[in-house]
Amino acid sequence: MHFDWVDRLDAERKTDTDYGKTGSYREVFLRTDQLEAAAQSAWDEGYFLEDVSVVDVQEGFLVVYHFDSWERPGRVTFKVLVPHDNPRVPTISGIHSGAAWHERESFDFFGVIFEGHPDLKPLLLPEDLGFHPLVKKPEDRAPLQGLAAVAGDSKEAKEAKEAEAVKAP
Amino acid sequence: MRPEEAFRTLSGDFYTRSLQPGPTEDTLILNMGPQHPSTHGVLRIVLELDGEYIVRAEPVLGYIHRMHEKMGEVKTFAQYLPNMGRVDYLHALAWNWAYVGAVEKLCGIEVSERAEYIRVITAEMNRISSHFVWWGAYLLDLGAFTPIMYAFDDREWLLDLLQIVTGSRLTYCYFRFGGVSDDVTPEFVEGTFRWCERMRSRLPMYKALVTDNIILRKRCEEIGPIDLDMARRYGATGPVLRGSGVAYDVRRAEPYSVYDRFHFEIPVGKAGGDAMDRYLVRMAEMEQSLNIIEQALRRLPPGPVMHEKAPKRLKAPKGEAYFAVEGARGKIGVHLVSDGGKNPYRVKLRAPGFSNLSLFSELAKGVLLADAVSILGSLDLVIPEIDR
Repeated sequence: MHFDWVDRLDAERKTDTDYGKTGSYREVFLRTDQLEAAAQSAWDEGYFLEDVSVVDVQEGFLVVYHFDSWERPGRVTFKVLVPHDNPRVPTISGIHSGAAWHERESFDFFGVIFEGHPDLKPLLLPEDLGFHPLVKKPEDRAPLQGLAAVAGDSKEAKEAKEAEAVKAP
Repeated sequence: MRPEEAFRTLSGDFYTRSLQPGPTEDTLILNMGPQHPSTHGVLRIVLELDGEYIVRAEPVLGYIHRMHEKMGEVKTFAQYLPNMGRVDYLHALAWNWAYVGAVEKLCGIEVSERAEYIRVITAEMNRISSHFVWWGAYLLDLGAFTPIMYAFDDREWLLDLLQIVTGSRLTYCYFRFGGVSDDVTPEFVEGTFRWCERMRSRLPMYKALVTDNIILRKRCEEIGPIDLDMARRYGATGPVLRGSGVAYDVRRAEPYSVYDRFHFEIPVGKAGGDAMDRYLVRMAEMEQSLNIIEQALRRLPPGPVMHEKAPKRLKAPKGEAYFAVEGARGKIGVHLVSDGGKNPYRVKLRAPGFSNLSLFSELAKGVLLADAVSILGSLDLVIPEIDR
């Protein structure tokens, strides 16, 4: 298909994902400093932001961005992992204006701070709530491995898969 | 409380105070909502007015926030199903479908052929019933009282039909993982055919009665034009986007279920579409939905309504899935993450109204207050869906 621009992105890791299983064609694992450039490429290629989601895992907060296009439909997912003790991600609301609300919502639910956001105040929750309701207890957090396809093509994942295949029979 | 603190409370709250002073001091801060009738539920908009013109508009959300995403994490996959009918009460079956579709994708569950057709029929009927409510309520906002009576008359027939198969009239919970909960009856099939026939004569009457009305046209034409740049920046979808001339419809762009087997057109407006374009797109969409319903009814295959391999007890594997459907307001998306447990690990609901409303701030700059009401209505907002 038409994902050359994704292949050209400066990223930590890229994965071809199975649309039939995940609903996404490409997954791009980015560092926080690579996010803005990637979001800009998505805009230049005619993509729009569907939503911003956060998944709380053992390693930190996984911030997930879904992009899709009008002319060349096919979902592309960006993922950024930030630590629990310093959850800071640059905002992309300067490029995709709609991100401003999605980021405020993520700030509400998880306390992820979007640096450079024009007005990062509560959106859906009361301004004096004082906690972030979707943050999980440390003992309830699952490891990222296997949960999200980000690490799908890493060495460890392959080894784990092989080990499982050996055990299966 | 000290007197000056009491005064601070009286002179506004967190949201009015956070609206920074503008360039001139000759403006007025006005709260529209959360109990204003034209904000459809409990949307609040903090407006800065210069005379009757809007300098700034800031929607304040959350008055009907119910934490649906948190409920997803404390209920099992099946227990979460009834929540979906309550996210968007007007197009409940589309939300049913988005969630069920995400679970089916995650677990690799197949859906029986007959159930796919029944899903298409009922979801399209539900789309029309949603457009009826939008139509009646929008015209109420613009000062026309009669149309909502016509709309609710026709909608009543529709709800009676849907009640036969789903058992409820508004907050449907009808779809299941691998099919639907109950089969359609001959009474439903016959009644739906007759209802479609009736609608074919009602829609031209709607046009003669309302669409060609000069007062409506004056209230809608050239009001709230959305260009392509703005639509894409905010991620607008559904009739709001198609009103601006982009033929983007999830049923065609990312075909799910059996939508690729039916002939239907995607009505669009013109570039820089205004409130009237969005109005016309929805009116034309009702006709297209009738086409789909009739085709699906004629070709309804025999068989079970649940796939024989559908699991009795759902065991979700580790992983994630994203499933999108076309709702009455636009693209509904469910992002589901599972850690292999009995509950979803994380459910993210993408509400189309949320993105569509986010462009209102920019769109309302410099327009008359009365026109802002027309713009809000043309976005077709369902607040429970936006607040979730």
